[in-house]
Amino acid sequence: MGQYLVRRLLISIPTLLVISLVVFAILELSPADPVGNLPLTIPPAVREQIREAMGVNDPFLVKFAKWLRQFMVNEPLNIFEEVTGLNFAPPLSLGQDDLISTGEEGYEELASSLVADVQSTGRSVIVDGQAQEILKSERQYFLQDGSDSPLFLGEMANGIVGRELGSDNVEVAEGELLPLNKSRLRYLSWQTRSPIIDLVIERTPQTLWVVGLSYLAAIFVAVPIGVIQAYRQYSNFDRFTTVFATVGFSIPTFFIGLLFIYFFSVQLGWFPSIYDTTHVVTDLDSFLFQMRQSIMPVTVLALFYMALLSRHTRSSMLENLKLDYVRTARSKGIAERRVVGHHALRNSLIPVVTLIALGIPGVFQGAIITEQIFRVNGLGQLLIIAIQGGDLPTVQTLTFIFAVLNVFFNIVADVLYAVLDPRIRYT
Amino acid sequence: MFGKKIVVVALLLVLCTGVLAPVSAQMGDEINILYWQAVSILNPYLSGGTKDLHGSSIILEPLARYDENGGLVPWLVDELPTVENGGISEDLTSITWTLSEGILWSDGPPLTSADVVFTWEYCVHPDFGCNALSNFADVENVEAVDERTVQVTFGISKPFPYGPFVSHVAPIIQAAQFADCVGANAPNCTDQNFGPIGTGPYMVEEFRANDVVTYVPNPNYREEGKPYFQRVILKGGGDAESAARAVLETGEADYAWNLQIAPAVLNTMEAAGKGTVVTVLDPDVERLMINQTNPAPDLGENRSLYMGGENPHPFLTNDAVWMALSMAIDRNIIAEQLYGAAGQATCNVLAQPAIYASANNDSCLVQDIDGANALLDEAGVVDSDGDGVRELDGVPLSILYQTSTNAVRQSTQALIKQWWAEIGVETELRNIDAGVFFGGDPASPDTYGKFYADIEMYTNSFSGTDPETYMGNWVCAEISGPDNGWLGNNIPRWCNADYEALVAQMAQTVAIEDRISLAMQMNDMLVNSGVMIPLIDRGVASAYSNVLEGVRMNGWDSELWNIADWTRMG
Repeated sequence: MGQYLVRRLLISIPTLLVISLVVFAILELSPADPVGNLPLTIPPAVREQIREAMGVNDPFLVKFAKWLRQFMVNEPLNIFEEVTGLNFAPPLSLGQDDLISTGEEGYEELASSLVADVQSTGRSVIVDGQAQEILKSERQYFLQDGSDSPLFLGEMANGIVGRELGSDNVEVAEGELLPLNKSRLRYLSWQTRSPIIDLVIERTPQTLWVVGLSYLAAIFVAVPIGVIQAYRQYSNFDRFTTVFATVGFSIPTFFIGLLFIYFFSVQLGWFPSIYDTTHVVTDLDSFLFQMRQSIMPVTVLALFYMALLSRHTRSSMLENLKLDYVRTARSKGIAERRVVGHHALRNSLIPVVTLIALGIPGVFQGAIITEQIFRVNGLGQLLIIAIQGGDLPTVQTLTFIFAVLNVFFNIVADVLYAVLDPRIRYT
Repeated sequence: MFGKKIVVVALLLVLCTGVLAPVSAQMGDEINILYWQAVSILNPYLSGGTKDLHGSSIILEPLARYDENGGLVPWLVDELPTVENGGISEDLTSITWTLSEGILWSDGPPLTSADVVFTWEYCVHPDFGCNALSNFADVENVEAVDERTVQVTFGISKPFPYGPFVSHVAPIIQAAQFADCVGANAPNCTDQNFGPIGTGPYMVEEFRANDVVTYVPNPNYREEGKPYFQRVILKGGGDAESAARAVLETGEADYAWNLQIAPAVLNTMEAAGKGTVVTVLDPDVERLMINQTNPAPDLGENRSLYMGGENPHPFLTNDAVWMALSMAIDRNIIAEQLYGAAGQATCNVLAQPAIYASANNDSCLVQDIDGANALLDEAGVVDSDGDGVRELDGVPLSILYQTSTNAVRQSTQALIKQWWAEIGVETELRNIDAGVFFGGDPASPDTYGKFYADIEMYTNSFSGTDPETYMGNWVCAEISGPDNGWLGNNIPRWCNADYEALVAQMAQTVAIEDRISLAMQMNDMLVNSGVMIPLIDRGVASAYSNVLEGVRMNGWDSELWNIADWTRMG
């Protein structure tokens, strides 16, 4: 089992690499233009400059390599460093001779490249074998060597660079330390110009709350319904819930969402139609508000999955109830409740659990429309906005995250299968 | 067992009553604004569109801005510089602004001329793709004369020097905050771009990109007792229709921006009586661009190339033909059925500001299919082979009519196709994804700049209130073609020496009446030479709650330009 798991995890690495390459290539072919939404009053030359600054015109492989590095190396390192407080950036080694005095030839080039390097990689600087911290005050960067006269690295705005400070003409303001790991290059969205991972982290709670809650609700309602349906096949309850499930399955979520808004927000005024993402639960009242604003999106999503899951529970249960072992259990005189709830249900749930695990990534994608309707503004809405705005980096990243979820939950489903069904053994 | 059930039921009931309590009315100290396109960034110089500019206009302010009538109002200055008061030099090459006394940034320090100079340096840095670059066109230098005085010098004489630091497109940012964010480093400054420090009535409390912005009052705001609200919530996402509903029907929000909805739907919502729909007409004019060159595919490389006038369109350059095309259109039907509150029929390419609108072409507002048919018959453009399509010199009047993909545009296309069929003109419709059509990819054959069609439809416009740059779009040098990567502004590929002379004259004219008369002449020339067929003067419809006071809907600046004055009744 352990060996199997390791093999599966290893195989998933090339799978994901291929997926990311395909996602990248397809999106690269898309005609989306990040400046296409700018007002027409902005002249084409300016547009071109904006594109250039965004890196839109980089060749495909360069963009892909950049993305791989930033997404697979930089971002995990950032998160790790933030959590542990360690710094992994390799130090930049520098001899005392590398620094040139003000006015000497080449000092401007050296210092500006130094500052740029320090800023973009987050390296620490070593002078003569001694690690240095970088002091930053307003626009100036200094090497803090512990003495009263820190080495002056450079001034951002006008490029004045000196070597030695401490003379009377340059004053060192009380500076704050440049947060080194923060300055590692990150993968930026074209729309918000901010790190995409931060956007994802900011939005995950909303999506998890709404989507997770609806999935849980769906499971807890659907499984009992399916069991009763199968146990009382062709009863009125079975017929009614079957119709209900068919309706829930066939009517698209956006339509039900609009119906809900019309009845419960416009007509009755019970629930808000706008989801407040900034709401924080602190006490009972705010919790009730959180429930009130989540009820409609959760119900809409839950309806759909409930329909799906109850149908599967029903058919799998029907199959098992007819089998010999159930008859044996009954003839042994075991209570009916135990026969159904323990013997039949446990075996019937095997395919359902697989379905639940495989459905989780689908839930994230299915929430896209619902999030848009209720303004839940989670991951799904982020994806829609990115597509509309031609924000390819965000689309690429989100699509890839969805792909990771898919691969991961496939593995989870397989493992669960083996755990639940003793007949299945992986070697 | 039984007791347990009762407890559970009772608990559920308590929960339900709590949950079902009607949505409470908004708190008096909060205002909810809905933008269905969410704000992505609060730095207007890096923004991706109008919504971002509006979002940042609550925080950042320009030296002067436009009011709802398109008039310039001094904002961070006491007096608007003019030639009369000496603010603009006699040779029109420099303008001097004097900042009002006592304006503080929201974090404490005073606003100085250094901030203004920095704003210019920030935007024009060569490694930075600045959105507002055209506002700073021709600026040679910006220098701080003293703490509160700034002089802007232009490389040429500028009769209308109110581009730099004017309107929500080019506000002042704080030098201290953005000092490390110059040039290529600009996009990396997420904290600054998400929370600029400003002089405006509110400042950012929390910003969630593409979702919601929360603002709180600026403690250092210059006007005593303002702003009124303790918190401004600018929520994004969803669609225009549900935004309108939240203001007009459920009353959950106080203001909703840009309601592009079917007119009938909007009217029904407004009838609920909770809010008001306001419209402003923009200089945006939806028009048909008439290709003056031949786009025939068999020309290969030379499709839609001007070639010094050697490649004319086979029939659209004929006066009778384009006149008939224009006469056959009922602009009022398009306006009423498709645009509603957000559009008005027009016969001018320059329809706003109202003072610039020419009245000479208004005859086009009445559809005249019979007249169009008669005109074509008279000109000898008749259907000679009996296929229902007229011919000019043996070339059938068969038109490829393209535009971007958009429900209203496709409906307009369908209406126009039908009208043109009635005058014996065959039309093939085509729509192209907006990202491709307006995207400037020189390799794509489908951009509006390539214009591989006979007629194309889109909206063109200008920012601010001065049409000089806009009218300058249609000079010969701007003709779109391979030499400028098909990015030239003269899309119809029209070249006229008289027009050129008028453009040159306007660049030397200061008096507003003379500028108006020149602009009108140019407009009439464009419309009466068969270069463009104007259809609709577009506007923006927004809605606000009936309890909100102080809204002055503005099409020339940010809609939230006077949010400091907004209050709630009662």
